[in-house]
Amino acid sequence: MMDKGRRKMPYHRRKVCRYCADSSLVIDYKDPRTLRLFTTERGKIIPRRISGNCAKHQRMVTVAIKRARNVALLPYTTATVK
Amino acid sequence: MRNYETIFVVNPTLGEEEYKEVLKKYSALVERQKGILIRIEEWGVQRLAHAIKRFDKGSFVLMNYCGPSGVTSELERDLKLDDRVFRFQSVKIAEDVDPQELILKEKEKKKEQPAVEQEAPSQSEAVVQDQGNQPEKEVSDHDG
Repeated sequence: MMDKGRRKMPYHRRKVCRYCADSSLVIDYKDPRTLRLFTTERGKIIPRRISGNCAKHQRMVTVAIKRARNVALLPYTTATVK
Repeated sequence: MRNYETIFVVNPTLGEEEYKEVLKKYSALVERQKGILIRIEEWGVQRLAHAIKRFDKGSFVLMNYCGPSGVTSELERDLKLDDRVFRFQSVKIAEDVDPQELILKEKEKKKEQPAVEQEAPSQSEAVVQDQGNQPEKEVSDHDG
């Protein structure tokens, strides 16, 4: 029984926060290209469990994305475009 | 003194002169408030990720300056009343900085730039293209 349960567990490897791994990277709201990596195609912010960011950097990314949205460097959503 | 950064989106249909006037007005305003301008970046007309006042393009200006705490509020009050400015956003970058030091740094950067300069414009173009492609993709998604 126990084995069965364990086998069903999906394999996943914990991603390392890219900003922790490379301290030379800066999170900047003026750089929409990098921030795009942390949004879905729809423009939603990708959650930490998927992006692999640590809590601190995810927070910074979130703030940066929201700032970029405010000045139209990033979309709030793409549903309005059509 | 604190180091601030204000980014604003200007109406892209303005004439050259009026655009210059907007720049001049706000850089003068910063200086009048005992602020010290460190640099102004003009990104030119760029495609907006979402429409602002039914415009899908805007001219971006970034001002980096130092000043006492009241500068931004003065600046923002005027920006708010200005029809030519669509959007603005001020961010505090650092507290307790020496403006002279930043100016020196800026000058050094400029010296290095001639080599880098060729790279920079192509990068910004790429950004515009990137944003241009995004909505199209989404539209095709909707169709499917």
